[in-house]
Amino acid sequence: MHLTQLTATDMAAKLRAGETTAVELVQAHLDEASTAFVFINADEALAVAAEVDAGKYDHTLAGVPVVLADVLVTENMPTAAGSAYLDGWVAPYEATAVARLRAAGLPILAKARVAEFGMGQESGAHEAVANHQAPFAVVSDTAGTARHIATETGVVAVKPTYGAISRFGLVAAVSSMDTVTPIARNTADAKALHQVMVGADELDPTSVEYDWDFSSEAAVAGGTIGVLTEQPADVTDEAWATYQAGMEKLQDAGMNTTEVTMDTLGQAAQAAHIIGAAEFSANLAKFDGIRFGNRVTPDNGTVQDVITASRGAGFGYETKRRIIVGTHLLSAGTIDSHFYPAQKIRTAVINEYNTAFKSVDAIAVPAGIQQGEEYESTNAGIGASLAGLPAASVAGVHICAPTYADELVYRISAVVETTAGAAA
Amino acid sequence: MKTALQTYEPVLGFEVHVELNTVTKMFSTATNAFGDQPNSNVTAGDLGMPGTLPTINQAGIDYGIKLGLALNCTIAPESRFDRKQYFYPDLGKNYQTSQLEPAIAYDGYVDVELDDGEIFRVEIERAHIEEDAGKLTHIGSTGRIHDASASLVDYNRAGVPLVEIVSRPITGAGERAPELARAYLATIRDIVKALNVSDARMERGNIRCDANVSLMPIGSETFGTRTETKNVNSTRAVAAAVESEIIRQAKVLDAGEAITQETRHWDEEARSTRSGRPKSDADDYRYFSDPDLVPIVTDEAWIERLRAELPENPLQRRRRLREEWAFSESEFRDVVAAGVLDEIEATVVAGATAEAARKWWMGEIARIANEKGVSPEGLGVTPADVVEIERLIADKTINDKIARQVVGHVAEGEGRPTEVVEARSLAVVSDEGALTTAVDEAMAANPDVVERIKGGHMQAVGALIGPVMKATKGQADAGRVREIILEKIG
Repeated sequence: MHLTQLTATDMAAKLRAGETTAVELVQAHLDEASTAFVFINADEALAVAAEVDAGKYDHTLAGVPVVLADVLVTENMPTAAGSAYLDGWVAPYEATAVARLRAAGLPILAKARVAEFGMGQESGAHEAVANHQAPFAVVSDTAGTARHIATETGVVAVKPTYGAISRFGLVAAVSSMDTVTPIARNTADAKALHQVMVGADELDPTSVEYDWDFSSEAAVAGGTIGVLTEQPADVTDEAWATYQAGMEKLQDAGMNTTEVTMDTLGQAAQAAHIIGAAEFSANLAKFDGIRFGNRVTPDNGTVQDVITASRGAGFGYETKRRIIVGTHLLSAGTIDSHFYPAQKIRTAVINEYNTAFKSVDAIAVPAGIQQGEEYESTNAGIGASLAGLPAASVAGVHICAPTYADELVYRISAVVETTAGAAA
Repeated sequence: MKTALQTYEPVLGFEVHVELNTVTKMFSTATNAFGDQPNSNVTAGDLGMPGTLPTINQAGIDYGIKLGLALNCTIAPESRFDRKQYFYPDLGKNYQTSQLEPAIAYDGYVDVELDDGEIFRVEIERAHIEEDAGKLTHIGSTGRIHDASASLVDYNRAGVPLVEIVSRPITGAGERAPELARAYLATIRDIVKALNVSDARMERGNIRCDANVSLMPIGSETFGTRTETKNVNSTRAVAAAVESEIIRQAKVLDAGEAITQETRHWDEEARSTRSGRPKSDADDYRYFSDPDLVPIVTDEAWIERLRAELPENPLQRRRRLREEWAFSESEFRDVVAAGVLDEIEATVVAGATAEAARKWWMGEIARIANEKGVSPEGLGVTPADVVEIERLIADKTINDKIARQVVGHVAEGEGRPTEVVEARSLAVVSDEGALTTAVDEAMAANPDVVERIKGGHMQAVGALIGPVMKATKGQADAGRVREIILEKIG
């Protein structure tokens, strides 16, 4: 079998067994590189691979190449976050998640294409993983987008508990929802990648101190999962059938199912749009043409003219639209009529999840509901982002669990992915 | 101002920004230092670079709580940081991290001592923690932004922790409004200095005061339109700015015109305020809770630990010391004005009497310091030196006049007083033989004086002491010389 067809876990096993080399692995993937990437880090990836082959690293994933969505800030490689404003910018510091990947000896193959500031359906990283250009990748999941694209491209995305993986060095879109997220062709690979990056970081005050343990081999049998029993109007027959197949797998594995309905989720998308645009507008204010990025200086321009021109030239339509909407939503009047109520909905969503998790260990819904608007995600996907829950999108099923139950999400995800047609 | 106050009652309000002297900035690990090479104390976060996140400086929170406690405030059980948004290039993120509601500390008061000792209580609405902005230098004829050809920005100050202390409106000060303004600012300065949470150097902008002034007709309960005079950075200037604003506003009102709500600037040269930008209550900073930072949750144990570290309130301390030292009102006021309260206290603690300590710090030490253009405590004479000099006088090793010379030599860095006395052979001549010889010579040279003393003119003794002191180069104990003379004549 061609090296790129292996799972990351198998690549690691072959490396450890001496059946291949890291340089061969990296080269095999570089040979497949495509327009999914905006920067190909060939020389450095090969150099790191050579070091791995020389025995410099002892991490089990050392030598297995990884791809980064171009919203993760890197030294020695440009970071543009999909924006003309940042085009060509190289950071003098590195995202904590990337630093941990490097420390473990994972060669970084490339930076992958993203929608501007990660807000949209573009994801070179998903494409690359689906097309065997990389075994796994690190992306940002803000309000379910990365999980939604995973459903579309047939890969697994597992958003960790908010704060489980440091946000330091992730170009901020919506700070209260942005989550560094591993994607892979199967659950085990995503979980392995997750473990390299997880853990508190003093550079991110919202990162959480927690004694993570991913070593459990426990079966999911005996656990209870909240499910839908009636096909929602916006779920296609095909998506519903896929979902039901997944639930049967869980039942076969010994999980109890019980119906769970979440009344507040109907408003989740709206709340996320409002909070998202508001935070986005503030986070993007630093892009002013003064200190970094691409400055545009009009003739006889004042400071304000420079700011206006730089933002005008640097940002795309969607970014501008979202900034204008967010600025408006935080302004006197609308902050009371929209932003604060959206925060209340967020609290209600969190409370409703907390209540639900008193009777179920996790909740599974179809991943394939089309909202067709801003975030193209399921309400449940958005709900998990609003509540900071760990959540997986796997084989047409969206699974979420209480905060810190990331490990359980992976175990459930591993059962669901064995559904016909979803395995790698 | 007197005329103005026959018609109007002034209402004051102060916003005082105190720069904290933490080692690092409030939300980054950059050094918090004044006067360094521009843009040398900055992290990527201070510059608002993509992907960076703020971190919380715990010392800054502790200092904020301590200051809140010293202002008799309630400490919020939970408070947050908020983003105050406005585009200006001195803020790396184009928002200032501040606190909207609640502040870390609120509902307090501070007792302000006026010149005559009267206490005026000023209520504190809130004290919140925020970050300072960078410093813009405008290149152009006037140094102001609107006609600058270019502007330079230094982010060293961006992110330095600030506590903003906001008073409630102050009524009832009447003609003492300027005096109260000065005393209030001085009180805040004394408190932060005593807490050692700030370098408290107003000339460096460590403490900056915005003074709000409005006038209302006497008897009215409705406040008039206020102006806010920004960044008045000395106690003297804040008094002058308040007085100038009261007079200006009274003239405007007397002419039947309305006060424009605006920020104003204090012009030190013109001794008056000038118009800045219009400011309305509706300025919209689009505050919202900063999702990058976690709430500050305080508990009883933390607050009590900080409360236990609080120094004595400066006003109470002054009152206690005045009583303990038994200084008159004016003596004490002079001591405070001379800035040697700490030195006198340390000297007393080291073993001198309060009177002796005052004599030296307000006398010879102050005189030499003044000559050299330094502050008394910066002269190099320590409280222990003063105690040592007093001991040398008490055991008659030196006399008062020599002691003053010793202080001068200590200030020159010649060593501690005993070392100076030894090195310069300044000890009093206590050899009775030498003294007696000198007295005999003086009596022989001045027979007329001896006769007058014998005739009962005791004050004439002085005319013999002089030559004896001259003969011993001032190193004789004048009291002992007098005794010897009287023994010989008696």
